[in-house]
Order: sequence, then structure tokens, then C-alpha cells
Amino acid sequence: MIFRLNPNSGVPIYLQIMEQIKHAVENGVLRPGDQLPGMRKLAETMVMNPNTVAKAYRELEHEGLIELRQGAGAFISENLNTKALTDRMQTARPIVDKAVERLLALGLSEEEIKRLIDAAIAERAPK
Amino acid sequence: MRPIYAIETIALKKSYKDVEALRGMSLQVPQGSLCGLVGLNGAGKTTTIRLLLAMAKADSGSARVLGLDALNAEQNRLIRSRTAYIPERKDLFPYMSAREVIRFTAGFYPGWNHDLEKRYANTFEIPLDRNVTQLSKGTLTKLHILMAIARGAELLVLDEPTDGLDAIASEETLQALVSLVAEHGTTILICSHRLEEIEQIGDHVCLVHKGQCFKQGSLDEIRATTRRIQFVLEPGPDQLSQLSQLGILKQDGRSLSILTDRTEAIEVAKSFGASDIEAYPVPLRELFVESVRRQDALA
Repeated sequence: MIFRLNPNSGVPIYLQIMEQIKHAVENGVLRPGDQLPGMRKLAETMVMNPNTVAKAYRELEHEGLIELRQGAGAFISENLNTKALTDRMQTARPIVDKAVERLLALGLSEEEIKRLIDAAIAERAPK
Repeated sequence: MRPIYAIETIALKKSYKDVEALRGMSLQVPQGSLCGLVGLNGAGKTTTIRLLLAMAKADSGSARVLGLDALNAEQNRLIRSRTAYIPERKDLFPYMSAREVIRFTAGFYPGWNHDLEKRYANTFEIPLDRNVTQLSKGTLTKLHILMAIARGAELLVLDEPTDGLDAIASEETLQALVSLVAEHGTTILICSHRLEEIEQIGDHVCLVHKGQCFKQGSLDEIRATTRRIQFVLEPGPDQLSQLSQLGILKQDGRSLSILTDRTEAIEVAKSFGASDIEAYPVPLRELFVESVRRQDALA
């Protein structure tokens, strides 16, 4: 899979890695049993901190999305219910589509819509 | 037991004549991290390094490096035997080839690892027979990194490692540092004013200004907690002073923004009746620049 990471966006990099791996599973780029790039290899090719990659992998393991096998590397979990994941996203998609459509109809720009969603999330769950 | 911090300083002070270079520098660099020491020229980065490696004497405060007392001459000798320092000016013996410099340096370190030396000479593509004066700046830095690896340094300190390097050489240098952390677990401290690079390869950062550290911690932690909250409000003087306690407040008429790591900022703004509340992630550069400007304005 191909990562697109932006270290200067202010978004934690480990979250960017996690999101992109989840996305790759949702859209079928990665399937159960598929091997992920080794942490060290990924850090070296992306020229980023190995501890950050390790953190992303650990969190994904904690969430059950991947399995870390001693010495062998990281794999998308075999018993992962990708269908449930995909279904969840597929159910969500039309909701978002409809909302976005209505907001655009109100004359909001794409940037404004993104900001509103970010703000709504920020207000709900102050971290 | 290994200490949690490879470097820990408490309230380090140092003056040169009438210039206060360090005004209570307190830093914590975790073991195995790649930490950026970021500040403007004259912020005290190099002075801090000089104190840690006994190239200058502290006026007061305390400092531990690799679990040892850095301000004690005897213990500092041990620290230096386990620490590699790559200064901005990399002066080597000008009449030697790269191979001769390596062989010469190896002589000082009984634990020198010849296999690693050969492997990294290969990986970094160092022209071993070329005279060191003929090496590019980037290759010189990599030669230094190679020697740090071969002698098994536990701590590597670099001063502006990519200054004067082109984009490719910079990227290769950063890559070499990443490998070092990944394979050997070396703690790396990089003094730099290039925030983008620290954001790219670092996992920890210490932001310093005027001889003090004003923000430090895990980069992802800082990214996760620091936000710019923007909203519309006609604030009363009381509200304004309360909001300014929360972070760096900017006001332009009814448009307000706070750069903050306080979770309650949104709630406070809401309770004042603010509308159109928006939250953005904040790049490290923005955090640094605004914090420094505010400190200068308050001074």
C-alpha cells in the first residue's frame, strides 16, 4: 500500500498511519492475512520516526485490526470481519453524501464543510 | 536499571560576561527517542550541548546524561565515551582519506565494530579513498554518523546536521538517522531551527527560546492536544482576560482565535455565547512562531 503522510499538518503521524491502514482495509487494498511493511522498513522508506510507526502498529493491534507476530512482522488479522467494517462504512456513506449535498446546496464551500465537521467532532469529544 | 531519560537537565544556568545564555534550561529527552532541540539562533541550544559534554561549565543547575552526572568531570568523561557529537563544523584531519580517518578514529575505541563500519560505508556510499577535504558536506555528516554507529555510541548529538545540504543530501542524512534509531535504538538529539525536519523524523521535541524550554514532549502528543479554536464573539473585558488565560489569544473585531492545549477552551467560549466555533490542528511551526512572538511581546 502507498502511504501519504503529512508531517507538517498538525495531525499526529501515528493517527495518519492508522487511518490509512484502516482505509486500505475498508476499500480492499489490504485483506485479512496480508502482510504490512515491516516497521523499520516503513520508517526508512518514508523517512520518519520508527517509534511513531511502532506506536501506530501497536494501537492497530490493540484495536484488533492487525496481528504482530514475533519475528515475522505485522499482518491484517485473519479473523477480521472486513465485511462488518466495509458494511459500517457503506451504511455511513449515504448519510455523509446526503449531508454534504445539502450543505453544498446551502452554498458552503468544501473547506467550510470540512471545518464544520471537525468543529462538531471537537465539541462533542474534547480530548 | 536504565534511566527513562537519556538527558535530563534541571534549571541549567550559564552566562557569558553579561549575556545570559541559559536562564534555567530544563530538558527531558527520553531514552531511544529522536528529539529535536528547536530554537532560534542564540536560544541556547549550542550552550546546552556544550555544558552536557563538558566543553563549558554551568553556573548552576543540574544535568544527567545516560544516568550520570554531567556536571561532574569524572562522570562526564564516561558520558563522552558513550556519546558521539557531530558539530556544525566538521573538521577532520585534512590530509587523510575517509578510510584513514575511520582507521584513526577506530584506534580510540576498543569496542569498534568493523562489520557495521563496512556495512554503513556501503549503505551511505562513502568514497573511502577520497581525501576528506574533497567530500561533500552531506557525505561528511554520513561519515560521522558511520563512526558513531561503529563505536557503539548510545547517544548521538548533532548540531544543525542538514545546514547547507541540498534536498537530496538532507533526505539521505535524515534517512541515516532514522536507520540508526530503528536498528540500534540510539538516542538522538538534533539541534535545529528546521522544524519541518524535526516534524518529519522526530518523535519528541523541546522548543526553546531565550535560554529556557517553553514546551516539550512527544510530538504526537503535542499535535493531538494543541488546537486553534476560532469563533465569533463580542467579548466583554472580563471574558477577554479569561480567554487570554487559556492560550495565545488573537482578536480582530468579533473574530477571535485561541491557540491552546487546554481542553476546556471550547466549553469556555461556548459559555460566553460564542458562535461558529471551529477547531483546527496546528502545525508545530505555527505553535513555535506564535509562542516565540508572544514571549517577545511580553518581554
